[in-house]
Amino acid sequence: MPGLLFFFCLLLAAAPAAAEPAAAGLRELLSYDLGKLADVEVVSASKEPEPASEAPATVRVITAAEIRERGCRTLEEALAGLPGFQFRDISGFNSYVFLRGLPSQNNLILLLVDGVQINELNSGGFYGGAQYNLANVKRIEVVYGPASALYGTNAVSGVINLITREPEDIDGGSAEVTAGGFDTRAAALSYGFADQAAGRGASLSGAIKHTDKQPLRGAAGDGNWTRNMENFEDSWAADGKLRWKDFTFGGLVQDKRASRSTNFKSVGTAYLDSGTDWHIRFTNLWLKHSYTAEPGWEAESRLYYRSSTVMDDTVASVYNLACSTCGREGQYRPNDLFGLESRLSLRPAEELDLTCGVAAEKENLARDFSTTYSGDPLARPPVPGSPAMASNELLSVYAQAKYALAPGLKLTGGVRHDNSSTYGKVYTPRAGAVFNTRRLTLKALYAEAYRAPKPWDFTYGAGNSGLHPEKMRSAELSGAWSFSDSLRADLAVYRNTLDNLVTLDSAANRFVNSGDIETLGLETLLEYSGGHFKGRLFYAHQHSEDERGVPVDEIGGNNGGAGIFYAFSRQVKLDLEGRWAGRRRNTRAIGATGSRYVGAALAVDASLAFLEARNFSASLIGKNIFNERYYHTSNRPPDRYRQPGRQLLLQAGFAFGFQ
Amino acid sequence: MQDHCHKLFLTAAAAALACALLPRAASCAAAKEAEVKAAYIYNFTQFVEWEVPAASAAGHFDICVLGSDPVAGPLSALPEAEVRGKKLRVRLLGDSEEELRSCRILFLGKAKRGRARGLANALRGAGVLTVSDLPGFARGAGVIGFAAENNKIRIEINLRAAREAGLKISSRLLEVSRLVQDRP
Repeated sequence: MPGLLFFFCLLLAAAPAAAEPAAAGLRELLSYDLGKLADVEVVSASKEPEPASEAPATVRVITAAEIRERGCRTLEEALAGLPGFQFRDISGFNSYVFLRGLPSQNNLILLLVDGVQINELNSGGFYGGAQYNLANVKRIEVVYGPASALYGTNAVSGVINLITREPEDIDGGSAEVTAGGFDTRAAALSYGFADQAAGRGASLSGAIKHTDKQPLRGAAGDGNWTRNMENFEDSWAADGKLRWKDFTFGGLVQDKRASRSTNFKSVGTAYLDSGTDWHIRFTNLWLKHSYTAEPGWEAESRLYYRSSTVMDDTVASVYNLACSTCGREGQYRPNDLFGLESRLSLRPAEELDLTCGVAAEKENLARDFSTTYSGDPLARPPVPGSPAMASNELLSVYAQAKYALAPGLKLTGGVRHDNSSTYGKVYTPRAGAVFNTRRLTLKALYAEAYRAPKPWDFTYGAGNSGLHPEKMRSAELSGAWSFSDSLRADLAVYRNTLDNLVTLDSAANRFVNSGDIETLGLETLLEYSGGHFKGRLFYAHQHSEDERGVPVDEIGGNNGGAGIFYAFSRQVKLDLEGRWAGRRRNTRAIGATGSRYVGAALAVDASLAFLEARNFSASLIGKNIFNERYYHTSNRPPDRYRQPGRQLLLQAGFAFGFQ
Repeated sequence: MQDHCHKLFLTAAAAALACALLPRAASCAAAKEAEVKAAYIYNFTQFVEWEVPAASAAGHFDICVLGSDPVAGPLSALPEAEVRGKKLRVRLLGDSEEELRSCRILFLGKAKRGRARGLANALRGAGVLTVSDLPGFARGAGVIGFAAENNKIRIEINLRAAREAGLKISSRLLEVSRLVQDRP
């Protein structure tokens, strides 16, 4: 297969050159408004810049302005403004994001920050929560559907890429503080400068946050927790970039401490709901070299290091008993990875774009937690020693070609080959046809993807070292129509099949490959942007069922939302966001209601920017302003999870520029 | 497995290297960048108000390109359109500087690197929107400059130059632009 890819590269690169300018791209660009034109780069769908309309995938983008206007505090809040997302927020140390009808532990979505994965290494699932410094994010790109043909494992339901600001985007400094309900306090700082003539630039950004979340003590939490319950989340994050000519060094650290009390019931159990402290830290370091020899001929190489470690001061559980394996349970789980990826983008002919790449990674992963017990619920546990480690070597090659068959019509084909020392060889192809006119975009797409089992899966319970990857096949038709420069609508219909599911065999107490999920879905989004007003309306329908034809738990059939933004003046702007989630089948009957379902709910957020003058800004942010009482599904011992009620936040900021 | 992986890695690296070393003459990325710039220029016709009447060219709204530049291609491919009641026309002036004042928008190509600042100064007050992607153009008396940053095209606007040229820039355009000042 590598040989085949080699000849594939050669063949395509050797295609005859033609010199006629393509007008299709221009026609497309002419239909863009200024904001969209300024944001024309999309890197996630094809690993190289291209307009979203030309990408061989459904791509939706959340801009920095939208994050700010909507008062988004977490990644999940930002994603909730797009069609196709559902959530299982356990109101604690994590929350889970489902895209296109697939429930998971966040391991069916690949999360990238500046193109580098930040999914937790041991389980493959990313962490939801407040540790993402959204104040320094300039764009969130969401690629819907499988993308393993470029990205490898975990890119099953989609890819989310958080793109942070470059030094020249900051070119000055900014500070922001937030305070409000649930004892929320947060601060963010950014500083950056760039000398473009000299090819130099540097930036540094950081954020620190604390929240006590929605109170769930007593009846508010269905009687699952006591009056002593703790439910905090403390996080800090720092990221920076240093650029010198063609080299960029980037670093990101996310550190999160949170209580783990919502993971279990405490009333009627041996667990205590205070004293837990889940401490996890993510570190990404990378050095990128970009090389452009001439227009249409670009090479990029990146050396990267990733670590996601459950720190050795973690208190995972507290047992209300005194014995040698009771009291406070300390855990430690280190994982890291070194990788090198080189990618080459060519345009050997006017009609042909070619991308090919090679990646090599070596993972060092804990086989399991290293665990200690204090023996006393009030005493700190001893620091755990190093756990047994496992390694995984991964070598990957991929290639993708895009051919302009006729004006406005582009065909894309690509394949990736991954060879892992742990789970063997996996091939993931993709193919697509994209047709663009000035107002119309049509896409017909086919793609495959996979999720590789990780130590979390291999070692759970009795363990199963023979697990194979879950595999997805997806077919999609999508279209977008620009009624005018201000009004645009898109529609996507898809059919996904996830085979070879890694599911828990309760009797054998281990994960096994068994069953599949088939999803039929539809998403639509209507957007208006003109003058002082912006509006957005979206709806998604998905039906997921297993191999027996039984609907999949936790997936609602219908959900949607709307958002409106109005600028009363340069200083005063209002944004309202409504999210409606249809009822969802829970994993079991809910004791408090006797029903198998969590009900439909409408939550409305508001953000009023009442001062945007000179260098100062101030906003009043209201979450769930009508105080809707609603719940998310659960796959943990609590039957369901109460979602936060009304929360008011005041945010103030100051920014200065060097120009 | 280790040995197999090693071979696979070498093969893959060879594939990438072979791809990288294939010599190609390609001008497409430049054309694409030029298309984005052309789209911007087309948008400028809607987000800029000209308070000074054109020196001539009655009946036409002229977008001119001075000096050879890749942007000339996509600009020439713009669809027929009316701008403020006048027919949009794209004129490729070559090196001729004789009719610059009849242009509503003047794009100064890379070939005019040494003359750009002088020309932009000379056209102040003439109601001509001067545009260029020459480095620092808007800081050097031009009205709008394009700057390539991270694969995106940024707009730099010199408001003082715009005001002196008799141009009113809409707030919508200003929102997506970076404001710069004359370099002393």
